[in-house]
Amino acid sequence: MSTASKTVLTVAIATLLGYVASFFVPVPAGWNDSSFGFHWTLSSSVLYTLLHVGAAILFLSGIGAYKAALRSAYMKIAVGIVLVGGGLAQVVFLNIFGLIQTPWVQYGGVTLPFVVAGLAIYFGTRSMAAVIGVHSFLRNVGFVVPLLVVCVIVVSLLPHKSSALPELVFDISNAISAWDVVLYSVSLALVLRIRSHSGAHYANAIKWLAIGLVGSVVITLCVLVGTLLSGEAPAGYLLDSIVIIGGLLYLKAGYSFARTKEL
Amino acid sequence: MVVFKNLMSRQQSEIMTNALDLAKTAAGFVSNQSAIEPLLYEMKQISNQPSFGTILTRSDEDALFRIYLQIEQYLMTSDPIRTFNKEELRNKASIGLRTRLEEYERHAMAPSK
Repeated sequence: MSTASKTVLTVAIATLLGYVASFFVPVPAGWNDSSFGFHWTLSSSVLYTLLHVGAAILFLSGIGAYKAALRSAYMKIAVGIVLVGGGLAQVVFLNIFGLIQTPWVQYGGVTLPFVVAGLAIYFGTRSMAAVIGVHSFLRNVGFVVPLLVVCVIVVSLLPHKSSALPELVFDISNAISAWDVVLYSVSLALVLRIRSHSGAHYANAIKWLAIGLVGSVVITLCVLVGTLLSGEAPAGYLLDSIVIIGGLLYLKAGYSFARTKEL
Repeated sequence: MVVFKNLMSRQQSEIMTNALDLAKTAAGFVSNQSAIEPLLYEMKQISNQPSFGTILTRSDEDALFRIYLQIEQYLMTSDPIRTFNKEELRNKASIGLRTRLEEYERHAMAPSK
């Protein structure tokens, strides 16, 4: 069995153990919903966090065969993926353990992982494109930054259902979703450009990285549109399920990349 | 669709028995195909010849060996993402094909009289 296969099996076992263990966590006294609701929410967040972390481990396990510049690019992507999973999970943990009133949330620290995740994934794919020699205007920060600014402003000005949150806080949360949608989309476009340039040996790994990014774009877009339409951030079984699928896609992308070191 | 296929096995390491497959496989390892575009074009020209069949003529095989050796050199010295070594690349060839390749290489490298 290859190292990549052993790693993916270890990740799968650790993820399942974490998922099962979360069902044994006692329901906090302040929880208002059913016990099933608590355990579903907790176990889902544990599941998608571990899937994202596992994906990052797989990416990192494959970089040993490559030169420093590509290693650095994939490290940035791996950091971004961990932050995507961790960022989503922290929101759930903060909710279920009644930590919404903490300074971390009130001063906006809760949004940091999402802001940094988008940047890390963009700069990772940008470095990857540069190393391979792919020329694209999407590598130009002078193009991407104004695009980000315009999209963030447009989203903040969009009409939306009234929210219980102060308007500024609501706009900032939507701006961060728009930030990520733009950065994931630009990263996706860069990855597709890389795919058209690279050799057959890397085609599968790059295809799955692109699919993982499609997942991120779709999830973030769902959150953004759902928030604008309902006035509050969407949560529940459907969102949990698509985030789990997003984690699985990155896990597959990490596995496919780890296998490229085998000739 | 099997998402995690070949989980229990090493990646199927196919052994090439003809020069075209060997050159194509080596080309697949190049991270940016545009760096070897003239060689890919040449390879396509050879395989598109009407006379090109399952059994390669000596001149076609020699041409493909020459292309392979240039790709191999590129992979060992210039590919921007990875440094390959000769052995791991040549391990893709069957014993017979490798013998013929190395024979061609010896002749090509020999100083002309």
